[in-house]
Amino acid sequence: MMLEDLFKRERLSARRLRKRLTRKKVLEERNERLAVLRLQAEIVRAPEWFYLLKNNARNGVLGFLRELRDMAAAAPRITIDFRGTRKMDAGGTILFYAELHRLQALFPHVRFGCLPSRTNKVNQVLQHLEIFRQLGHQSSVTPRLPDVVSWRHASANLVDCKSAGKVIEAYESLSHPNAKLLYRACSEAITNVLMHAYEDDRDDGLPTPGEKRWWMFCREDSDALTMMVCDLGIGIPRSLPAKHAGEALGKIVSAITGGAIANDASMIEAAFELARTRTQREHQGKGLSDLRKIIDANNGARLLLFSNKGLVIIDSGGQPVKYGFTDSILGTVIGWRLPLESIGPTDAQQVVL
Amino acid sequence: MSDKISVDIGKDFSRYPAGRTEKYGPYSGEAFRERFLRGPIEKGQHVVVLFDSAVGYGSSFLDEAFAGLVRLGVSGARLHELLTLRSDDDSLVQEVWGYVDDEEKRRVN
Repeated sequence: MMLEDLFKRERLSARRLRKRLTRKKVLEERNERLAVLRLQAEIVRAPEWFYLLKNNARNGVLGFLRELRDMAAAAPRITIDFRGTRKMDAGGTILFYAELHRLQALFPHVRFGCLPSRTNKVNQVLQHLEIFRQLGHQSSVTPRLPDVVSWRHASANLVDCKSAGKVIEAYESLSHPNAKLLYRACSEAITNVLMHAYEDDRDDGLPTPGEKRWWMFCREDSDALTMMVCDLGIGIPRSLPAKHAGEALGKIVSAITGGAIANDASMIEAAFELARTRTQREHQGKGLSDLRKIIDANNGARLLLFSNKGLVIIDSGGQPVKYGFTDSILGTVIGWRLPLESIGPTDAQQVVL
Repeated sequence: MSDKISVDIGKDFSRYPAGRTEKYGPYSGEAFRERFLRGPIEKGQHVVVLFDSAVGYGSSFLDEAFAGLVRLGVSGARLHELLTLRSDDDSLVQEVWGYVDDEEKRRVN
């Protein structure tokens, strides 16, 4: 009996040993695979604040997008680390949203992933805008906050404004005349994208996409309704001289700058001025005037036009105010902000998709 | 020919008209002009255009749809004779006639 017991124990031990060795081998192989994957995975840290109006925040957003472009062109996997992101403003977010779409279209073989934010509201935004889904991240976060679920978005590669129009129509707080003016502004912004924005390379070193795409965000919070239209084209400072090669542009730019070299903001202002003065002379080029109409019709409304390194802000009844930045957004973001007390007869209502 | 044709842009064409040329969009001013205006106007038919069932209009669409007819050789006077534009928003109708009249001035000069 004792001999039999010993034999059984030894056999069991041998089995355990084999099991241990197999497990060790499996673990070693897994660790090796993970090490390779870790080497391949590139982590890009998202900025704390997706915002374009303040220098520091803007530099953070643009640095992040530059890194994202570089990685997409070189790495097989990219993980976007949102852990430190605390705030997402519409302007910075639409630029990121557009850039992500563009990179995923240009580099379909790159696998994107993400680490969610430590801020619940940011995760709600990322979930609601389907950015988590785009990044292959399954999140159980349910968007609930009123100023998160009121975000709506549209995108296309034609002047087909059905999706944009439906977004605008969904905001019941907009009065009928304002809905028409907002649609006018949006459709002209989109027309400009298709006709002028993608006429040359974007100067970011990446291949030029075959399509002329635009992206649109709309959002209602307790104070205002905000609409943004974005393209990743050459920007107004580059498209304007191509479109208006004559003396008129030179004269207008010179009047704006006082003879000094024009920066990007001066070129944006010149575009508005050209649109204003062309009504009697040429049938094209009036579109930018349409962008202003809704601002002039609503007290307290504001138009923001970011293009490359420039920004022009126009408040209702006011003159354009120019701002220059050191870094380019490599595209154009146009924003309209309408205070809720002026845009309709009813109070702000929560709109759920 | 004296038959009147009625075209409701929002119902017969698109609730979301936008853009200037067909190259960039299916519901452009050019597409509307070619589908609903050019043929009847060249045949001397009267066309009543109803604007109010669409979500809105940009200047590119309006200019190309209506002033575009002047660029194709129809005189402004002939358009005033054959087109009736209807909208609750008088400024919209005036805007369209403004584009037509500006184009007519350019054509004459």
